[in-house]
Amino acid sequence: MLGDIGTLVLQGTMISAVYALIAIGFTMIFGVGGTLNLAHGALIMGGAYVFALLSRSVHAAVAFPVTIAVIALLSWGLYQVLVRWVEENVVITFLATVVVAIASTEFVLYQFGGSPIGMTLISGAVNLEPYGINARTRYVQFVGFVVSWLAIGLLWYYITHTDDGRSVLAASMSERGAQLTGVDLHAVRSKTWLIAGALAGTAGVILGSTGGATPLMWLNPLALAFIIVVIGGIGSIKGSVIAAYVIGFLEQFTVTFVGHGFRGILSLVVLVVFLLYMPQGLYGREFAHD
Amino acid sequence: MTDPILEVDDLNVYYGKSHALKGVSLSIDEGEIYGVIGPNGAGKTTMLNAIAGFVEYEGSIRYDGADLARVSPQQIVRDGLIYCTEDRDLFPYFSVHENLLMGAQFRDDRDAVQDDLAMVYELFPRLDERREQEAETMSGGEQQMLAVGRALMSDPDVLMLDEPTLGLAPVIIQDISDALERLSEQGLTILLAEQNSTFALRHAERLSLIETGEIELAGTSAEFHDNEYVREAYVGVH
Repeated sequence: MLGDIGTLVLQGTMISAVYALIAIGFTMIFGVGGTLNLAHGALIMGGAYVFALLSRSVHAAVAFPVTIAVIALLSWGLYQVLVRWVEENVVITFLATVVVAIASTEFVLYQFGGSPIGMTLISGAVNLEPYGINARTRYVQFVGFVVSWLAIGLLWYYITHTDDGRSVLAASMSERGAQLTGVDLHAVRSKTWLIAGALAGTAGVILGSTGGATPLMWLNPLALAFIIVVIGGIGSIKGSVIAAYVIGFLEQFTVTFVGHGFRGILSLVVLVVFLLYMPQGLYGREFAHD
Repeated sequence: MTDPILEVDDLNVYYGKSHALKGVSLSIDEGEIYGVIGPNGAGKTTMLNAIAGFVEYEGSIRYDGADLARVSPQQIVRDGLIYCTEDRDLFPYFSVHENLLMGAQFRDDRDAVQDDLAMVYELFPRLDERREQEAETMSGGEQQMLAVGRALMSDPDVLMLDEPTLGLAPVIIQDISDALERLSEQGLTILLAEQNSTFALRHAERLSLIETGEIELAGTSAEFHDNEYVREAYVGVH
């Protein structure tokens, strides 16, 4: 029992950091451009496949940053080529990103088939049995945790301590205000897509390394991002981090004490409760579109 | 000798079928306070929005020799033509200090930005006392001061103010009033759009009266004071 709790805390702490990465990217794009990017999950999947392919020929330490850069550019490209032309219309943007998500899935299915492709960011595991932790914790989970928090920390510093980053947050509060202070809205939106892409790519590599790359691996993370963003408050980065931890721990709790099959149920219950009683979320105030 | 720093010539703006501005022309000299008065809905805000590049227009707007039709809104800001809107458009969840920093976000000269911060806090001591307070939680008057302060952080050559006294208490209006006088003495050019004609007449050297999208009258402050129509229709009420 005690060991279960130790495992729960450890696993929850680590997986929640990755969820936070995914949710932050998702919420930033919504906060700044008002776009619900359903292709966000496809970028996560893209990260896993790009890394799987690259790591066959180069060392993982090289493949990881290259993958992040590739996915960041893909995300940026998605904005420049498609989204920026339709973003004024919420429904069309929504549908366009759904099409991109499904097309990417079909493409991956066609190219690589439906079976999981294994990949290793870092191999090996640590045995924590002597410390009362039941599960063997793999190194990749630790790396995922550290990298995720590094990314979150960098992003936090960027948006709170630099003029450039503050403009991103400012644009999510008041577009007109941002224009009045000389912010180039198009540049800010492009930057958000670039950042969200980098975060999605990072998450993709970590998720792929723990569970393998599959064509539909993006579905669950995207659904979780949705739930996390609603609970945290749409557009709020701080809220996303906190809600990611709530959801991550809930998930681990269910897996440990209820059963693997019920993994997503409790999160959905919490989502419904929030939608009914606190639709603005924990930190919904940062979402303030005029 | 003074050159016009901002010239609006035959400005027309349409909202769908309605003709919001009908051939408005005016020119503003460097260093002056120019007032635009007129009732609500006359087109004052529309004119400022056109100058700032927020609405489509016909006609020409020249600022510092350049045709603004070819300049993006953010470049207009960088060139020192700063617009303080009636809605203020502050960043509600940023502190006073962060809002002011946003005003200077495109400037690279950190020392000059620090000097301007000190200047704004000295100009509006109320902002100094509330540096860490979120803009959203402040009173209307404090928000107006913050909006002006943020505009000043952009190092303006021309400041466009839309209804800076609307809904404010007389004591706050006096503070804004004093600030405008000081800024004007320092050489700032101000384009002041006001329904509050008394306030505009007190500060502006030259004025225009806009009614239903057209300039009905233009002249010096003294001419406006002596004009029977202006006195009866606009000044008497306040």
